[in-house]
Amino acid sequence: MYINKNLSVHVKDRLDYCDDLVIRTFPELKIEVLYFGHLVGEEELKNNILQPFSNTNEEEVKIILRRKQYQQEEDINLMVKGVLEGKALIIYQNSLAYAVDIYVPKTRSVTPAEIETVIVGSKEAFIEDIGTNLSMIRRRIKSDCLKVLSYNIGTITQTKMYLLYIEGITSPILVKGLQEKINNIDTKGVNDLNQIIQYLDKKPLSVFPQYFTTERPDVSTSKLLEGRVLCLMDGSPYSLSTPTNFFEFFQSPDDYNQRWLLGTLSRLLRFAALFITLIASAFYVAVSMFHYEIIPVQLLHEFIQSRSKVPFNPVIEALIIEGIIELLREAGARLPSKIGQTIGIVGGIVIGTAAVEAGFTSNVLIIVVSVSAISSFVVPHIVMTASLRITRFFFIILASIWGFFGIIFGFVIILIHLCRLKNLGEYYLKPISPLSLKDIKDTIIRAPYQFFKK
Amino acid sequence: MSRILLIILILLVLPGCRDQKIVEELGFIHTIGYELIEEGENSGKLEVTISLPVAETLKQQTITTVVETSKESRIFLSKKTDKNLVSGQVRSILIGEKLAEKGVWDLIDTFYRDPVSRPTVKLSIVKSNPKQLLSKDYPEYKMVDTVIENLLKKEARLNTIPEMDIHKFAKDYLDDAIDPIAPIILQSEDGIMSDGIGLFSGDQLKTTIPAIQARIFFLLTGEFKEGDLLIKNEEEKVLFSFLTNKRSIDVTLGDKEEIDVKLSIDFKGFLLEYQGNKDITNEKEIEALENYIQENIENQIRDILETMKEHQIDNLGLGKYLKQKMDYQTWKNLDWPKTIDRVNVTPSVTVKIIDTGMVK
Amino acid sequence: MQTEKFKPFYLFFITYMTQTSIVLFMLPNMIANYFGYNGWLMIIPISVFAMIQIGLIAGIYYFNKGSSIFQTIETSFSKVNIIAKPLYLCLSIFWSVLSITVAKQYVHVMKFLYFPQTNIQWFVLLTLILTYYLVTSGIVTIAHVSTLFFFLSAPMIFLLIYFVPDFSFLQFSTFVFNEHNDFYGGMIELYTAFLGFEVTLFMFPYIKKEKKVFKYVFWGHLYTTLLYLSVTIFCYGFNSFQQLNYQVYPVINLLQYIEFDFIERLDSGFFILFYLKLIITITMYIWISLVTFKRVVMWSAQRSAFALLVVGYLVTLPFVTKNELTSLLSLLAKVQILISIFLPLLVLTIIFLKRRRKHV
Repeated sequence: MYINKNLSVHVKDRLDYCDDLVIRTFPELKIEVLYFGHLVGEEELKNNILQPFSNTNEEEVKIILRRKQYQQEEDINLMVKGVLEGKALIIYQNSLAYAVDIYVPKTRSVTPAEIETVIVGSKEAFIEDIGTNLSMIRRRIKSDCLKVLSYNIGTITQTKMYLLYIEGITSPILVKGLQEKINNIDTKGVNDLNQIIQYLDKKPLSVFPQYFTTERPDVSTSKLLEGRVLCLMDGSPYSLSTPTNFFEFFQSPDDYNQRWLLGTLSRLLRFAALFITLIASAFYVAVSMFHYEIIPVQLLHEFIQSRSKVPFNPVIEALIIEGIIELLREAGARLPSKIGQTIGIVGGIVIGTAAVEAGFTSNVLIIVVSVSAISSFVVPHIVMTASLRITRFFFIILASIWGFFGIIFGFVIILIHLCRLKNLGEYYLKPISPLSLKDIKDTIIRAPYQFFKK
Repeated sequence: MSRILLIILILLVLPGCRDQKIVEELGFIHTIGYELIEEGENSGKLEVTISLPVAETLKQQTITTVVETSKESRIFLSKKTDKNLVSGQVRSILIGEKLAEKGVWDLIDTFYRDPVSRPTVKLSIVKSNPKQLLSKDYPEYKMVDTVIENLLKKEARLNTIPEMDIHKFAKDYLDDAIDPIAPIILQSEDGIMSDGIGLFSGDQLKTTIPAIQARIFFLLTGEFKEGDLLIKNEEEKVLFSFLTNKRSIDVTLGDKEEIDVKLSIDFKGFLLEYQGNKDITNEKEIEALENYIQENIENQIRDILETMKEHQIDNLGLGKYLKQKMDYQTWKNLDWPKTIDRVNVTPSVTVKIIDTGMVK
Repeated sequence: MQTEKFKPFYLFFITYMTQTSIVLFMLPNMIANYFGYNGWLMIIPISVFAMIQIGLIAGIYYFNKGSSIFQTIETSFSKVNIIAKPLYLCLSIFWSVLSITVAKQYVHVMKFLYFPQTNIQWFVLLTLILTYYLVTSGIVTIAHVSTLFFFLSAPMIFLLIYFVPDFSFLQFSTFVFNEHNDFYGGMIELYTAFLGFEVTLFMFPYIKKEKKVFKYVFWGHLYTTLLYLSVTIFCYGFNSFQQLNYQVYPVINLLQYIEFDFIERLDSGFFILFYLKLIITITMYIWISLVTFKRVVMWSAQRSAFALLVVGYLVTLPFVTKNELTSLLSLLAKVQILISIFLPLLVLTIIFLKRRRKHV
């Protein structure tokens, strides 16, 4: 649409009822400037608009407008979009429009990662501004092979999204696959990258996360170097990488920053924690409801004494205590961190001790449930922790129905499900199934760097 | 299709499993005692005693009943308790001496057949009545049954009694080359004590070996790994602590019906205690002492073998060594262990004293 | 769409996981019964015979250049379809019945040992649901899953270390095959324990072409042999021979004997962990049944798998007791032996006839 006359009116018409729109006029120059005050930087505004136009006359204006930063716009849609993106629109003589990018968003500065903390290693985390996030990655990969494709998601929100990959490492099929999926997203708008993930999920009914998100730039870069595709979204302090596999969720930058032996051991510890958190409570239920014969005699006496006071069935007992743990966790997550600690003390010590003394639960169960709760926190990624929590209830219920057989039955179902899961053509359980001994070096264990392929 | 299966799955889940055995509802039988009643109106019947921990107080409950056969005892016993009796936690079986003399295989077979009970259940023979042993109130013990279990374990480690469980008993009973043994325990004034080894012929208790000789017996089976050995006569008393023990059995088949077995035992150890008139600082005297010990042990071995020959039993498993030297038909014709008389055993013991202790 | 293929090394896991099933738990008893003293020696010749069979299949793979054997059969004569199609249908139903009988036998033992009051049908149906879920995922996923299950269940072999202290070479004796009965019947029974390698006959189009594809089937078979040998030898060394004859599930007795300080009697856990292997065994048979079935009926994989499972389930429905199941399974296994011997021979003959026709 090309409008010659009354351009100012048309533009203002489109931005009607936008009270945050700033309109500055220089009547003697026949210039109007439109911009959103909170999207532009003071300094840039002064340099590009205020200074040039306040000390000039009508003749010189034309020369000034020929400067490089003023870009002439002819399409009114682009003009409006430019204003929304933080450009200042200069309307000259009510018929010519020039856009100048003075976008400086008001964001928080880069802060240490709060969820995925590490002991040794970089502390910085992504922030909400996509430009800053991109710069963090560019700063880490100074290569022209790092390609960035730009998208806008959401018919209304028009949220900016970048798709990053390294040419020569990432397979083009993956890039194309993800591009297709992103283009297929049909929604009015999204607020966060974690919502995008749920639009992309191939099997939405699965409990396991199918995309890997992280708030750490260093992890994101390593994902890029491993040949994965990375997504960034404006307004979201996370990055998404795909194809994802199960074992990624058990890795932490600490494994790589610390010596390999420690890295390997802590990884194995996490897999042990995975089993404990899934099985511990279910095992308790199975033993106390079906397989009493496996209890050693030394434990048996204390155990039955403790159990004899409990009025509930072991499975009800376990579900109640697991439920209380979930309540504590949820309460802790919603409360400010200082009060959160109090919740931990109240829940852990007061309720735990009182519950055993009141004959509400057996002391063995309190130990089992706390161990399995602690184990679930060992898993470095909060998304996977949540999945494991849900799966745990599944196991408890199965164990209450068929004992050990129930547990194995649950395992078979989950393992088959995991083996079937695929993500952009890559198997979810990769180095284990399909088996690839070469890659196990860096999934189950963390071999010394010298062993990795050059 | 997968929805149909999901529905079937849910339907399968709903009825659940009827095999629930919730721990606090169970009575975990810990020890079972069997004895044969020989007098009175119940003569010929079995007296079954069980002990189980009471969950609430952690004290021992003892229940007794008199039944025709061991298999029906569960029904009568469970009438007397509020718990559902289960045999998955049975730790030891006590068999009265009278019953043991009559035969125990039926009893053991019941346990061996039961998939719930464990093959590691300890088996022992009680010289007094198992009922009395289990139900007597020992003020110093909270639960007698666990004390018995620990006693058996400890004494087996010290090689005064064999560690005999259902599996081992069945193994030796069913094997045609060996006869089973079992530990013997006794109720004494101040508690419970172990009292040597019971030797079986088939499943019948024939004779016993006293605790003093029991260690010699284990020297012969090669199971003796650690422990003290006491050797004494009127003048001398030697307490010997073992370090290493090598035992070998050589079988030579003679021309006729004769079988020669050379039993050589070679062991080293410390002298812990010596009371007598030898000077143990002198090398020659030590040698003499070694010879004395050797002879003494050899004599004891001969005694044990005499006992076995007398009852035509082979609890040492000499038959296994014989088997190695024979072909199948000869072995079958031998009709072991009835022919143990034909075996000439020559024990040869070598003793080496390594040290005589901290003082001269 | 191009069919997805898997790398040949998965054949190792598939072969091993399909071969071993519940029979492992009874194998030592079976061998002791049939072959008598030192019967474990028989494992070796039977394994060699099975290896020759694998060699035949490998030969077919080599001549076929990786294309499906169905194609080979169907393109052999002009009117072969008239015979082949009904034959396919029979085979398909037979394999479905066979696999469900295998499942049922495992489930029966599990029910008998650990869930005596639960109805066997529930466990069978649960197993079938899992099988359906797995078999409809396609052969590549089955291969992956079998690898995963292998690594979860294979470490159980290290439990044998627990029995090293109690292991005695004396138990073996020097008799070879004495007290055997029905030697030839035993050989057939033992051969059924190795069945499972023949499923690779149907996998040709799904294997990525590499050098020496069948190397992995041989390795898988050798691993099975090794497992059978080690388990049987340990059973012979841990039990007395007569005892081994007496036990129905000697391996479960072994598992029951394991006691750790923190946990005891994990036999239920280990036995149920073996369920992973069972799932693969029956899935593989259902899978070959499915592949054959789809040659005749043009249904989707889901529907065909469902139909086959239902048919198999209904056919085996009346067989409930141990004896019924054992005799049914041994009958089916014998038929399967014939199939495993004659099917490769038939295909080989067809290949040679074709080649001759080409040359002439």
